Amino acid sequence: MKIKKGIGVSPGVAFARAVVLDTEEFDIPQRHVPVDHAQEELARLKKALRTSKEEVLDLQKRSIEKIGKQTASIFDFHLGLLDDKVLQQKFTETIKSGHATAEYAVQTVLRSYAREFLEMPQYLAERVKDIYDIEKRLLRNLTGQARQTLSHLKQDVCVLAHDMTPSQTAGMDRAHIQGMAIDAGGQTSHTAIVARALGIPAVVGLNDVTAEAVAGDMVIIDGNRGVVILNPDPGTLDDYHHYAQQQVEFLHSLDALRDLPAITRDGHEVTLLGNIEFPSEVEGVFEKGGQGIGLYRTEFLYLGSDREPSEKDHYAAYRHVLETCQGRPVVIRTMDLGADKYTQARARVPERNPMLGLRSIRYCLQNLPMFRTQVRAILRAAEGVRVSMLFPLITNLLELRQAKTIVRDVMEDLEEEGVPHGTDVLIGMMVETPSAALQVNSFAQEVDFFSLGTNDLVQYTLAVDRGNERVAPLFNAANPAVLRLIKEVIRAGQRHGVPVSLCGEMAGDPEFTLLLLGLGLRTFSCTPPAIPEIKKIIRSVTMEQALQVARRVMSFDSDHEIMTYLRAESRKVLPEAYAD
Amino acid sequence: MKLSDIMVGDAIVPELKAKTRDEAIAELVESLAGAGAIPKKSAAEITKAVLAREQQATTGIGKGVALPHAKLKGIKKPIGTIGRSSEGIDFAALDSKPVYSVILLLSSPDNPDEHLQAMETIFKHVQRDIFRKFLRQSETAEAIVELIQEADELS
Repeated sequence: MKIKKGIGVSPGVAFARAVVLDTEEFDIPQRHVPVDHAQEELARLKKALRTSKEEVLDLQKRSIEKIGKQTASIFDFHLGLLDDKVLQQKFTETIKSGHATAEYAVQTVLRSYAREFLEMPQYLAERVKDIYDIEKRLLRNLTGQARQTLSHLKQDVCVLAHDMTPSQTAGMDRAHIQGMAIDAGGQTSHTAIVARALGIPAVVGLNDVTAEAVAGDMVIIDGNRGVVILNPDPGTLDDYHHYAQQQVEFLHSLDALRDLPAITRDGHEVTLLGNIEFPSEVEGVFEKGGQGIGLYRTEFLYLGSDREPSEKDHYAAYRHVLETCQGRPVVIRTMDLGADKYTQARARVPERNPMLGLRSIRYCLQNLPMFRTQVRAILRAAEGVRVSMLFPLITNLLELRQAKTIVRDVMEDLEEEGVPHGTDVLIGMMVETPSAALQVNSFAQEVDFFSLGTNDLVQYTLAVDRGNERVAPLFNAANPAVLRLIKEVIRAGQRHGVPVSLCGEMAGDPEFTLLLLGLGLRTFSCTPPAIPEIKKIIRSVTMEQALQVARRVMSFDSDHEIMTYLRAESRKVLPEAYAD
Repeated sequence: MKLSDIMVGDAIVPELKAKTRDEAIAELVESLAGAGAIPKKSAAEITKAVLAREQQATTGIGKGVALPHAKLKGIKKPIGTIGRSSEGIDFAALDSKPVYSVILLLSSPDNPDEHLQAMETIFKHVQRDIFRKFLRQSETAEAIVELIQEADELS
């Protein structure tokens, strides 16, 4: 038995035999062919292009059904490549002039194309993965190998892979794929996003799970705790079956809470909101009993397509969310790309330290036309409805003021053009760096609300990259320094009458609910599946209890003590959730 | 876009006579007109437009800097100038502190992207402590022009 710790990115527990996808390397047969074989090679290439295109179209069709149109638009880029006349011309030239095989032509031409992409701005550099994906597909079709596919499985499996390409994840047979464990990636990697959208348990950032597992091994993937167990011993397997069974029963019992308010036993009301990535997730938030959208991450608009999203793309997505919400609160966060979202590009991008680099609002303020497009769409979508706009990664006042200047500027343009738009859009900022937390009193004068982003706050306060296995255990939201900052922000919000919500993972972690309530937090925004459990806890406690827990926690001086105490306290409140 | 492409060197005012926000804006617009960057007869109208924008929300973004701006018909490409006040001017800035450097920007309403690029350039430099500090210390128009050029070379 081997236990691997990673980052749980999609909740649930899966048990199944492993399918291990390694990074497929193709042996390219025979570089050169006699001159008179060129025609034959060209014909093979043509056929492979055709087959590949059919495959992608089919894949796209199936993904639209499974995960929605927006996600499926990833494949537009693939189709574009397969249809690209310039590219085809290059293939043909390489075959003819180099007396090369079609395989050789495909590989050399696409690799050099990929290199060109790597030199482009980050959001294009990420596309390189798609080029590799197309390369693999073409080569597979050329060499006649049956595609090792996840779409025609005969039995339930857990997929273990180094990393997954968009077409691998989209082509998966949901009925048989129980869970995913990935070496690479973080919270916001492609696999994580797709896994959450499909509701499959997933753990990423495992570093070397593919090296340690062999196809056919029994695997447990625990997306709740971010743990993968290879070849569990019978005792562990039993325990986990038991745990999973109780989880299912417990979650079922929470369904009854859906329409009940999140209110403590002594009458303190709490707002529970959901975090979403796609417009299609809105309904899921309401099904789970959420009262609105506390964080709409807009990055997928940028990642899901091969070009920068147009104002129309933005507008359509926002309007859809707002219309579905029918007046319930919606917080749209402006583009938060850079660093972690581009794990693939990171290594090649010259930024030496991307997490401390040009990301998020900084990137927006240096690419104002792009930023304006998004702001314009948000303002237009806000016509006649209440919308909150949230700026990420603000670290100093000037940044906030510059961003606000742009919003005002865009609003003036809209007024001048006579374009309908919202005029009372609330402006807020993420508090996700120590600098923002420590200056919260100054910021409070200039924003309508704060949103605590605890994932980044922990990382920047503790100087820990949790994707790095060797330091990941140091990543802990229960660290006293982090808690002190959170407390300070909530307090400042109360003092200045500025609402504070918390949208990091902490908000959806039942072990922290009592503490956060006690610290004064009244708005939680978490991943939709976590809403019922958080509501259950809130409804089971009194504010007096929560205050006591908070007081006690703030007197501890190690995260270990704090976690042990919080675990014990939340267990008392909700023993069912911890059945094991 | 470079700062030196936007700023009209001949229109830089190393020591503003103005004591108030409105006077400072008028003085900078006049200076642009004096340098031939905008028609003299439009000066009054332009001042009015910039003030109208200023009244909606202050452009005094803090740290002693204000960025009054407006989009106006007749302006072809973004142009601007800088005025320095050693005493400081009350711009009702967001940090309630006096403004020592006033950076005026005028752009065309027909090309909002260019306006934003100009803002982007100005933001980028104003973010840097050292730029703000040197700007506040530059006592002649030549020194300010030189500072602008150095800043462009740096980025």
